[in-house]
Amino acid sequence: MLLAASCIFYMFFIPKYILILFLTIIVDYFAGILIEKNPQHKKSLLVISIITNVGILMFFKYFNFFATNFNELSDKLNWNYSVSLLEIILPIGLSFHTFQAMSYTIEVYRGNQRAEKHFGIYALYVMYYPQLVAGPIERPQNVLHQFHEEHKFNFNLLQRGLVLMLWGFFKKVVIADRIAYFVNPVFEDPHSYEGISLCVAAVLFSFQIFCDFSGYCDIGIGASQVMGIKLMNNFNRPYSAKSISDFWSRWHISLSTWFRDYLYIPLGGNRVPKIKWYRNIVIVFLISGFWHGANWTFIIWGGLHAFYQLFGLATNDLREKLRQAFGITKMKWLNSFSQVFTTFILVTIAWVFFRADTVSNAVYMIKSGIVGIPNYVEKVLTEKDYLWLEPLVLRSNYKVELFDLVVLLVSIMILEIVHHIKGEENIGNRLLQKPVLIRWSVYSFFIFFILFFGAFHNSAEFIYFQF
Amino acid sequence: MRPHLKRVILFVGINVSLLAILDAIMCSQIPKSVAIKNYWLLSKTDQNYDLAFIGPSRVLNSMDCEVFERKLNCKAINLGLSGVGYAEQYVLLKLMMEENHARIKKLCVEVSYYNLINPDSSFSYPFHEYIYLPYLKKDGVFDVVKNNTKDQLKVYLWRYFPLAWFAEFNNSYLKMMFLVSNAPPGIGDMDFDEHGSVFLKSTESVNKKVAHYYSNSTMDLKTKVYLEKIIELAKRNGTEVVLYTSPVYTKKVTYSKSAWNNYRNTVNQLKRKYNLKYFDTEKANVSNDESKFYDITHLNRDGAMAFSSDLSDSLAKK
Repeated sequence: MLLAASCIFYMFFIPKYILILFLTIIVDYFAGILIEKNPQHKKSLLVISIITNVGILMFFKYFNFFATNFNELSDKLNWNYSVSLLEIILPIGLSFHTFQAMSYTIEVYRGNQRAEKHFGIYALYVMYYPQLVAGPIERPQNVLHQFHEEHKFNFNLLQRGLVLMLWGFFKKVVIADRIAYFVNPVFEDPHSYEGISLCVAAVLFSFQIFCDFSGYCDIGIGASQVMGIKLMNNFNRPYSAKSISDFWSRWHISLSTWFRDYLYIPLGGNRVPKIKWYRNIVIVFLISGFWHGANWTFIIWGGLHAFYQLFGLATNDLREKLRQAFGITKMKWLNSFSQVFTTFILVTIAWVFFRADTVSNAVYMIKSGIVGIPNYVEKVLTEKDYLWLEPLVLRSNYKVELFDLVVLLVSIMILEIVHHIKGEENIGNRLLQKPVLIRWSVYSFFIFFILFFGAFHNSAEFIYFQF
Repeated sequence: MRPHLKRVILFVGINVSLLAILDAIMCSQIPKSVAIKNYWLLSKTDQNYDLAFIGPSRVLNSMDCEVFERKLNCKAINLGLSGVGYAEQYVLLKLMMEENHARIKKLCVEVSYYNLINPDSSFSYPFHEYIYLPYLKKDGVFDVVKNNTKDQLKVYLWRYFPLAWFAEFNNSYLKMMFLVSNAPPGIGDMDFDEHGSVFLKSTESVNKKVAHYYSNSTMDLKTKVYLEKIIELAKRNGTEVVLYTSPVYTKKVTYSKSAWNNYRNTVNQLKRKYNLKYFDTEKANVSNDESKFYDITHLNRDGAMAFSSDLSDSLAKK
């Protein structure tokens, strides 16, 4: 049933692409069984599986990127040769299910997971619809056994799942899609906006991408929980991170742990000479950036995070000494705030590259944003009318747009309050401990809030669907 | 399972009841936003009009009802709405005549090439479904909305799931309800006069504008059906129907032969079928006078006055 539902779900986008998915499923299914049966050939079998998966990913996602760059280089060097571009649409969720499939064969190769004999169960592992298109990227140890088990109706799980879905819808429909209304025009044409507007757009995008992606994950994990299948958590309040490495332990956890387990550690991790350790960090982040999209903006985004990490490691002692010298370490709240704030700003700057259409647009936004802040302060101090509000709301009719912005700020406040109350715990677990009247009031509040303030009309697709 | 089921039913019941209450409140409150012209027109009940003009912006901006009232000694109303096709004009007229009991002696329906081709190529949003969703419980409105919305399943959801219609367009509704006096163009026609007209001030010479050449020779069947529905609805309610065409700045507008012939054939067919008078005023006196136009297809304030005067003379003669 679940497999059939997953097939229908996948075919809803481009039906014939299911054949590509089946090809990888067949290759990895047999690769898993053969690796287990023939330990002497397991390395070559793993390589075949990885080449198939990566090959399909490369062809669909990166062929045009390499071809375009090759053509540009050929043009510059007067080679008089060009590669024609392919007119293909990227299969939905390709990067996600490719990584999930690869984690299966790698785990079977490592002996951490028995090869799955049931073809349907294995196909379901790759295609399971709640997490097919944008993760979380699951591990076979976590989900395969759940597909074998019988799941009896569990009201608690149902409740938790529905609460998580409701929370996900709130994040996606109320916050992310409303922010899209403000932010999309700015990123599409940054040259038409003042510096301060670019800063506002960048900060709002940080919330948009978090609410969009974690909202999707909450809906997917919640829907899965309703059916009795638990998926791994993908986010843990990433904007409360106190450092970039802390951020990556809270953001897109399933991907960062994937890279940790299958790339960073095999490269030697941090148990190698310092220079190799730094190299490993750079490799992981550049590949992570490239995984997100076939564009230099994503590669720079990854490179920027690598730079943050390296800079953080290199200056750790110095920063600690400075904090002590200024007495910041004694004031715990100030210490925490400065760390969280700095991390958020660094992450936001990197998001500009992630979202911008071109590298030059991203550079322009960052430059103009930095210059725009003092100019804006001067404007606020000298402007008599409320016109100084205009660049903040990113539109000319500020009275009307202010309404949207107020709704948005209230929604973000609700998000932060809920994050603060629930702490590291799952929102459903926390809420289910409360008396029924409180629970029902909270559920109803969110249902009505979504209906009244959700951006349903022309709502945007999930950002991570493109990857 | 059973105790859970009871709780679930109770929770769903409470929330659906609350939704239904809110649905009813919104259905009654949203149409009170009379700064939106549609709602302004629908706020009037049991009105008698001697003369009414219906059509898109070329009616909204060109019909000076004061001129008609003065010259013909009658009560006139401008039912023109910006950027709407015949389907929306029909649903508005239907609500006015059948729900609000408006009595109209003579209805002047604007027919033009732009109105009769596919409305999606003439208007960016030819059917403002969200305006009529508070009336969706009425079968007549439901049918028109259903026929003019791409996702028909959605229309059923809007009708049968309380507040779903509101959720889809909540931002527009909330702005209508709370910010209407500050709403930008597009949210509503804010500055219409007491007769429902909006007059345009020329900002630049029409001669500087790019000339238009129209070659689409396919008249839209669905559009024609709604035009016929308007005529039939009016006739059913004892209203005399007259067709007319608003002027265009002729120096800048040309049609391909087939486009023009097909358009004229459609109008002639309608004329014959319903035995209607047709005032072909596309090339009226004002149509060569640059100073009377706001743009190639819309008259300015002076143009509206002059054209209304000409049309009132024609109406008086026949």
